[in-house]
Amino acid sequence: MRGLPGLTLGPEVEAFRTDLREFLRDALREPAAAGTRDVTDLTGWEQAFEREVVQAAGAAGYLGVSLPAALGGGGKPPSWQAAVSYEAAYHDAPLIDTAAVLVAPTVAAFGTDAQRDTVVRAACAGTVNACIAYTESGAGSDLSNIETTASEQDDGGFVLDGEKVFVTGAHKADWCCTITRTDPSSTGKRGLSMFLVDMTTPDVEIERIATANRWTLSTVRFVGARVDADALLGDAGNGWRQLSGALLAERSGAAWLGWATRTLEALLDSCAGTRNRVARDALADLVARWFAAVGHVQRVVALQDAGSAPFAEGALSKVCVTELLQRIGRVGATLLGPDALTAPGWFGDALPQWFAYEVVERLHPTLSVGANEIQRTTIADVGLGLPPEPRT
Amino acid sequence: MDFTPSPTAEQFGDEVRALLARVYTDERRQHAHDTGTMHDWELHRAMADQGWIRQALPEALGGGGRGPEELAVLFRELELAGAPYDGMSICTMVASVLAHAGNEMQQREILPKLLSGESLIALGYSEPDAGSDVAAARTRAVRDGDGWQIDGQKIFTSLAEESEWVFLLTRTNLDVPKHRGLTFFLVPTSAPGFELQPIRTLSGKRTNMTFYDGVHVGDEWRVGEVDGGWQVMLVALSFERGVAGGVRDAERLLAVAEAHARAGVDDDGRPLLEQPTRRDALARLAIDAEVADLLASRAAWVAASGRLPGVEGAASKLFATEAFQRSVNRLVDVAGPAGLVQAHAVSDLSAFYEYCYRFAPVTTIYGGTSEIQRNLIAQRGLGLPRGS
Amino acid sequence: MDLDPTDEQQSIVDVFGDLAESTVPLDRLRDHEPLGFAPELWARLVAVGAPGMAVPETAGGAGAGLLDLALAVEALGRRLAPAPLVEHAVAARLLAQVDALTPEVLDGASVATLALRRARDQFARLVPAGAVATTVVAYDGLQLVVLDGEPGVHVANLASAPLADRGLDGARVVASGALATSLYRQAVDEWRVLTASALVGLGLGALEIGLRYVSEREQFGVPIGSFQALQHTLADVSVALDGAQLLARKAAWAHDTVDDRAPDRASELGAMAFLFAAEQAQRASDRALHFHGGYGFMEEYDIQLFYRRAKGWANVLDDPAREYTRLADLRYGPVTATASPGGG
Repeated sequence: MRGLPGLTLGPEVEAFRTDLREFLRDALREPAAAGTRDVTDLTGWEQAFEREVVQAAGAAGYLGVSLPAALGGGGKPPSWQAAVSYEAAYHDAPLIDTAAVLVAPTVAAFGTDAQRDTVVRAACAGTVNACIAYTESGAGSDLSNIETTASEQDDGGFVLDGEKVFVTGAHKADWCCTITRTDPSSTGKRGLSMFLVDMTTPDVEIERIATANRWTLSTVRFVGARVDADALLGDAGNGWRQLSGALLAERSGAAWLGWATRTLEALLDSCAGTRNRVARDALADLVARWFAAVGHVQRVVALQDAGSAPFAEGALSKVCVTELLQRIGRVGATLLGPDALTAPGWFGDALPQWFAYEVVERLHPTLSVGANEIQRTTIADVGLGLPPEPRT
Repeated sequence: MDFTPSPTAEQFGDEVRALLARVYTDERRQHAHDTGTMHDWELHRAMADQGWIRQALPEALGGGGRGPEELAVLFRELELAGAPYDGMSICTMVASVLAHAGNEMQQREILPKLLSGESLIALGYSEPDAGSDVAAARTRAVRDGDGWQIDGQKIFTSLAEESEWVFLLTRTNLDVPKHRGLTFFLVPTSAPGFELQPIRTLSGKRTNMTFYDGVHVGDEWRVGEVDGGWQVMLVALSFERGVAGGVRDAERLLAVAEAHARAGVDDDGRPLLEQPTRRDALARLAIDAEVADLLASRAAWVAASGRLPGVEGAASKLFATEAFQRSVNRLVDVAGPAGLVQAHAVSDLSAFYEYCYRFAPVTTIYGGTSEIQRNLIAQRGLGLPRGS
Repeated sequence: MDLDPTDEQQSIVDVFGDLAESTVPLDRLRDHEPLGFAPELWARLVAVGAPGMAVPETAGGAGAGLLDLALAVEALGRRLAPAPLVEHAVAARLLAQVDALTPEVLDGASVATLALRRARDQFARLVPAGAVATTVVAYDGLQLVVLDGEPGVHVANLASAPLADRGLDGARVVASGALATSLYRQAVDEWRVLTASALVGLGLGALEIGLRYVSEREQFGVPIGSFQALQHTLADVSVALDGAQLLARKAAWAHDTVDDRAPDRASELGAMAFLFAAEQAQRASDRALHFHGGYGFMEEYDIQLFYRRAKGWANVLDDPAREYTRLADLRYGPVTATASPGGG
């Protein structure tokens, strides 16, 4: 098998992608990349190197390509950002969980001019790092069950108290986008507000916690952290609606598809010419599923380009792509035999070490950004119009 | 711990096989195939003549002689032979209920006819709007002089066309929670107002819709207390003891598929048994069949130890039927276009795949759907909380 | 038929379970990573006579059967006990058959193991327990060889198991020809049977943790274990693990109970038990991990320890797909005709 056809996004995007790929290959080429591994970070790169690549990408116009041009973005349709996410993942470039992807769209949509300047423009330039801190220990799948509070002070500022978990990249972030309860009498989806918090704010504590694959997620604690009134993001009490929009944008699945494509290609290469029937069956099955996944992603991107919010289609794509990604790792590790049980390396390493990494790494896409059970509920409720499961 | 079958069970297995070989001939098998009947009177009466129906009753109820392990053997051999066993299993179950909770008339008039193999009885539980939620039954029984008038409709009343009575679940009280307003009756299929309408199923087997239009029965036809139907239902379930059949389809499929593969060759004249995909499918099926057998044995063992194998019976049924469906799918695929062909003669093994493909869906539905079994296992076996 | 453990068998389950629990409770397991060997646990296993438990009395052992050993191993597996009892017992039983069992291996003062992959050029790759064993039994060029020497260099691995490559220079031949082949096959068969039990234990341990978590964890105002999507999956996992347990025990029992009418039956049951236990242990740990949500992916939660080992304990033998092929060969004989296109 000589490579998979990849994601197809239309002629204009394709020309852009060709340049982008060249940029990525250049940026990650040895020896620039050599010796810059940091397996305690999700990106797998040392922070200095990561910043260097992000900044170069910003300078070259690859960050925030689908954000408004007036705010420093590229002003292109969502399919352009999907192309960037896909290629970044495919090349293992540290351009997925960036300020431009995670935080800038929400700030662009709801922020003040000042917030847009400090975060959106900087994110598009690649000069700022940001994280999102939504999940809490009691608010995972049930994300509206937020307990972190922000109490308004007489001077209009807020004091934040509470604990956020599973925060990606908090240890290197300049800004944190979070959601808290501003109406202490409220429950559920009402009374929530978003904040954009400067990570140098006193009484914001970060604890890095190891995942099963060595890299860390952080717990972010707001211990009576005081922020000014201008830290409020959007309208007070409107947090849930703002957040829902932000989460939806995360689900096209392009990045997961990028990892899946590269991993599957490597597996196909290593098995090229195999006459082992079991291996051939397993690979053919993966390729079939891969084509289905591409179809899902392309549909979501097309709908986004057309200006609609593909709720059920996004959920379908997320389920299909993340489960494919997980399956590739498991099938690959099995085909590689006991060698793939040895020390995990990283994405792109020699195959046994790479797949030892994959087997553990790809557990989390089916859990994060809305566990697949939640996605399936969305598919059933919204996509198929089934009545909700009865609850007492 | 010892997995050796007990000598009595082994010996009984030999007896059952011998009887099947003698009575359930290819001719009878072909007849069942052609007519879609779920019953064979010759076989049923031959088994009754051996005393097997009576022996299947608990000892305390005047039966005995066969423990759960032997009963499991009986149903195992019937299933593996592809012989109809539903009549037998319903008969022993209702006979047990009547021996336990029946009145003097029922024990005098009806029980002996069931035990001797003279008559059959059908189960009237399911209704169009009461399937998994069987306690939602709406067929009404109201006092009518000294007796009762029954109006309503039942579905999947299998074997009603061969039966002398229907063991009928009715609603007698609308003012109490649904489980507390049910009452059981024996309804003669000869009663005025009783009608049945055959339903053809996907597998070719016949079942029925039964209608009750002002059917009058005397109070002596009531089984158990008025509004005590749910207790009777629980007694009936306890007599099934997890050994009433329906858990050997995968094992039978394995036997047939192996026999077929050993005998056949592909288009190039190579033995079917040497096809890699077929070997792989058979190896996986062999594991599933082994596990299904062990789970069935466990349910029988739990019953033999004097415990009620509620969760174990559910586990056995769930695994066996789900495994059967998985295997059927694989083997039909492995067979290629040949797996689509229907054959008139039951001796044509290759047609078994096509039949199984049509039969498999119902196995995870009847006798409690897989979803109901999983609820039971999760909540009673694993102690998880009820959702709603 | 009697499917309940005898009182004696139940006490084996209890004793080994308590022993693992009290020596290396789950929250101390990481102290023994990445090597995957707890000397203090091994010492306690030695103290109760576990290493020679299933060695025939004629060779100085306690003469227990594989079934008793399987029950012990299942109890250890449930707690992910970091001690190579399976490998040691299998090697010791084999050595006893060729009069090569030393007192040190019999009582466990030296750890012994079996190379599961055929050695090539006097080199055995990824030997289970190879990083702690001083005695290695290997099959090399139609000969059964025994190597005494220092443990090999640990190869870091997914399961934190004491894997090591072992050179076989200086190994002595203890059997050759057909005898060597048949003894080696039998030993690997026994390894499959016992590993099946270890995997069953692992699966049950993972299920236990998963059940506890979904019963305690609340989202949407209710325990998440009340959702049918989780209940039904856990019911399926539990039923399959029950089946795997029965099958593993039956396979061990069959090895103890030679049936002249079906001499290959024990081997076949062992292959089935191994494959089914591996699949169900992986499914149990995978689903239990998934139901933890993000916590399942965090290093500090124990469920990920099960997930890693479920794959590692099984795949150290081979790709399971090839084991299915082997099972078919056992049942139907090997394919003799010329290989079909795409096969092989």
